[in-house]
Amino acid sequence: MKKLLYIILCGILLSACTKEIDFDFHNANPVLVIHGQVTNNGRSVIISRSRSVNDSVRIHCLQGARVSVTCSDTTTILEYDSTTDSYYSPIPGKVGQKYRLCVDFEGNHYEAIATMVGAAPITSSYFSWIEMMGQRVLCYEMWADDPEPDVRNYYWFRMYRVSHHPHFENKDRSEPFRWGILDDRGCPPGKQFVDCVFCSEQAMDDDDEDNRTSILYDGDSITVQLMTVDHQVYNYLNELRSGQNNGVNPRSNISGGCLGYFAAGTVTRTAPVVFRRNDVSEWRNDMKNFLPFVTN
Amino acid sequence: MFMIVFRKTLLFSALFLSGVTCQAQSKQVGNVDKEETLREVTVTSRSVQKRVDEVQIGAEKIEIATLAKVPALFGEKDIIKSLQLLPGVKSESEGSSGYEVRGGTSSQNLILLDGATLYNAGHLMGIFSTFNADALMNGTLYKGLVPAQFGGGTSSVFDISTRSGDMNDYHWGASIGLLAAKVMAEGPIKEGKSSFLVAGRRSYLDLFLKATDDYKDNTLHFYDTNVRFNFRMSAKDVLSLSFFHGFDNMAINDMMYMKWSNTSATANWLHHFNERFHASTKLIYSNFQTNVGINMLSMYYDSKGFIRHATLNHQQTWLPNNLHRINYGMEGSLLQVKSAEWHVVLLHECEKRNALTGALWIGDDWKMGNGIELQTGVRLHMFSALGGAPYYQIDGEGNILNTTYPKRGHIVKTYVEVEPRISLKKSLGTQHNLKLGYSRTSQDVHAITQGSMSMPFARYIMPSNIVRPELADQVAIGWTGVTEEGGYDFSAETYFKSIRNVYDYRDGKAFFSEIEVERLILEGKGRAYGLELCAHKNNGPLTGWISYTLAWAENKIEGINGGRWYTASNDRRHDLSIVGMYQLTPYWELAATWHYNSGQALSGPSAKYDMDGSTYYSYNERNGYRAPACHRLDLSATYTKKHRKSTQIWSFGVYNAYNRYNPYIIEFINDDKKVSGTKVQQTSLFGIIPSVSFTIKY
Repeated sequence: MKKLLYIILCGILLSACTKEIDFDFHNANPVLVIHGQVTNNGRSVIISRSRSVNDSVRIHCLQGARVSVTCSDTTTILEYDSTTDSYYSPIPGKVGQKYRLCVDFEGNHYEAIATMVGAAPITSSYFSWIEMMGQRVLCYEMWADDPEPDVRNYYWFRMYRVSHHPHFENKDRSEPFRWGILDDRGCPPGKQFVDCVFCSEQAMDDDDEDNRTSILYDGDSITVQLMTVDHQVYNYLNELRSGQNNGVNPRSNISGGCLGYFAAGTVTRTAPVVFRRNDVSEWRNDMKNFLPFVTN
Repeated sequence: MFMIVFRKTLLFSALFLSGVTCQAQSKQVGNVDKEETLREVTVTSRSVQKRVDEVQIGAEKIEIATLAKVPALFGEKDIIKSLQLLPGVKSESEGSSGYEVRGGTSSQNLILLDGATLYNAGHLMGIFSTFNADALMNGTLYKGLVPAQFGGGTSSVFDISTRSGDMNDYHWGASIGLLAAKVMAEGPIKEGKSSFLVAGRRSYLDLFLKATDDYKDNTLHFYDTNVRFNFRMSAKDVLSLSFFHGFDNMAINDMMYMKWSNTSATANWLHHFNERFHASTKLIYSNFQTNVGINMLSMYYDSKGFIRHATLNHQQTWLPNNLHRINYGMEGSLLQVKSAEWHVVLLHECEKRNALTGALWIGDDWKMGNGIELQTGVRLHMFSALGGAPYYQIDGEGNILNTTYPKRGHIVKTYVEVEPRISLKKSLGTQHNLKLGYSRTSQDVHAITQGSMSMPFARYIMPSNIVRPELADQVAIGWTGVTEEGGYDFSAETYFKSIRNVYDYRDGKAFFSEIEVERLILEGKGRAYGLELCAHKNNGPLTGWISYTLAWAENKIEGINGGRWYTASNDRRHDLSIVGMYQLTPYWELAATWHYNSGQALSGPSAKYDMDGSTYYSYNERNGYRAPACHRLDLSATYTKKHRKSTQIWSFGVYNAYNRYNPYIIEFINDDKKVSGTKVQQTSLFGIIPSVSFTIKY
């Protein structure tokens, strides 16, 4: 019986197919892209342009813009900084303050407002294995404090890895390994958590090229960053995330006709952790920080 | 990763579905004929003359016997998939039992089983339809132009009837296949007076899963059952009781689960006053339920929803003379929609509303003379949203400005629609007809779906102080012709349809964004137009048909595509189906279908940009690209051997005989290591799939 089953399985698995196809993309005029942040670590704005779908060369920050961030009648001019490849100022933002971004570039004016939200300190963070469909699957959970338990808050979660694995030689390391946005609906009072499910142990062993962006390798250095954001930026990132699969551009909170966003928020980070598969323990249900209630 | 896990689940839906399935069928023509004399809607065979003489433009009669000959995916005969071979009807995607009619979406189709409304009539996320062909008598698809007694679907109405049990003889069948088992039994309760029919089907994919070490804790099965009792209470009265329940259950360990079900029950009393006057009274209940959840790590999520109808329908048919056939009636329903009730860790939110709907209608089939026949009618549809749930004032961004809590039973808002229906046929001699029709239809339940494919887990909403009933106006003109001996017949129809009060998600919003579904949606409109051609060969050992559809479908929703008209995601320019059935010997019958459709509309990027270390795509136009074209050849061979008391049928099939990989998903993947910068990846669901089934009938 099992043999027959596996024959059927193999037959159908061979039946499904994924392949690369030729596609004729339409051309579009480049559009300005602005992404600016005011955080507890300073203020930075990167200005770039969209590029052709068939262009494999990343664009650096465009120079020649006048960039300012204003808070309570105090305006800070951000100058281009070649080390960060951005318009940058080390002056940190303050929680509760409203910030206005102004960018003047090539005769056009772009403007946005964002309010800085308080910090969500990360209180715990760990990898674990769960059993799923006969395989051990790598997971990650992080808990943080909710800065304002009585209101709905929004968070931008990013996990970075620095890998010295040969697969990633000359690879741009600024790309998050995982990112997501979340709000605190349903969380225990004053708490916030993030769950991530990565890849199976089998996929790690197989190390297929298509899965490498999902695999963590021994020796990878992992840092997690949690940034509080306001509702507008949450909406922007939500639309960015869902729209990538649905053919929709997110609505920018920057006026003037550009892509991108302006966010003000507080960033908290975990200390870098060196990932070792053998150090990861199994998930146990008693690790839940609360008991889910019984549904009807 | 969640998506990857779910894809695995879906894949396993497909994995176990090839193999032997057996069917048990029973013929009992005599009883059907008796019952037909009492049916208020004439549904008979799809014979040549019936097809040509049909006054109602845009109506397609489905004959189960013909359906059984057409090759089917995994060898499972499927009434919904057979629709997709007709002009003006398209499949949502390859292998899907979701169908789209004249530019509409599948959620704009009304499916009635013995008068009860069913939603998402598909098993295993649409791979199989929920209808067991063993239990069905026949069905009629109205492609937007419908008689006055129907209402509730702006794209189409598919009216399906279950079979009555034989009042004189017992028949039974049981079959065990590799993947699903079917049982059927029918016969008299009291000979000549009453009968029963019971048909059931259950997949046992879960047994396969349990046989494996890796998947033994997973669940994947469906079942459906049809039960019907008929009682001939007197020479003038027939009471029928029919029941349907279909259920799907998919789960990965105890971490993720998806369940959905359709339940319906109908009591139908037919009364003959005299040869020219009869009445039908129906008491109908239907309940569509969904439940999806995740319980892994610290995440706990459980979401439920339902749509429930409780309906009383009474109609009378009066034939004052040989020129008129007048149908009139009324209908009242209590409608309950739970758009969602979710538990998310410690959060519990629920949105459930009630409404009353009512309809009055009158229609007349009038033979005017000079070869002119007119089918005309008008339907008055009423919808009242009821209190007992919160109602909102919402700004342009979807924020709640004000909330009111009207008392239970209080009428919050009433919509009244007058829906004229007219269809005219002009005979040009004995072999040709011209047809013209106009119809307005409304739909109360809106399904808000992500993407172009229908799934059971949509957010459903009905009219409120904000949301309005969907309204469609369609005009069509057509011609039918038949050769002198009836060997061939031909048809051509062209149509234009306009739809108002269409709702879709705002950009960036999804199922779970807010419990208040009105905050998630935008209102718009749509239009569709096209041409449908069909030719049938009716006589000789070779029979079949060729159907072709040329179609356009567009939408306009403020906030999407800059508020301009844009190509609908279900827009496909060309669809061509060729169906052939060949009687090789008295024992062997061969059949083949070939289907071609040009590329489905697709939103693709026109630029990309870099932000926060990642690369994102920028989109200039909604659905501005086309996926590659699809085509596929399906073959079947059927061997029928009749014994003294039984008939045995072996059916062999090959789905996608030349192993064409048709597009199912198109993905754009940034790859800066490639000179081209972007990899375009096509995923195909099915390659070549052989199947075999064995049927035994007693």
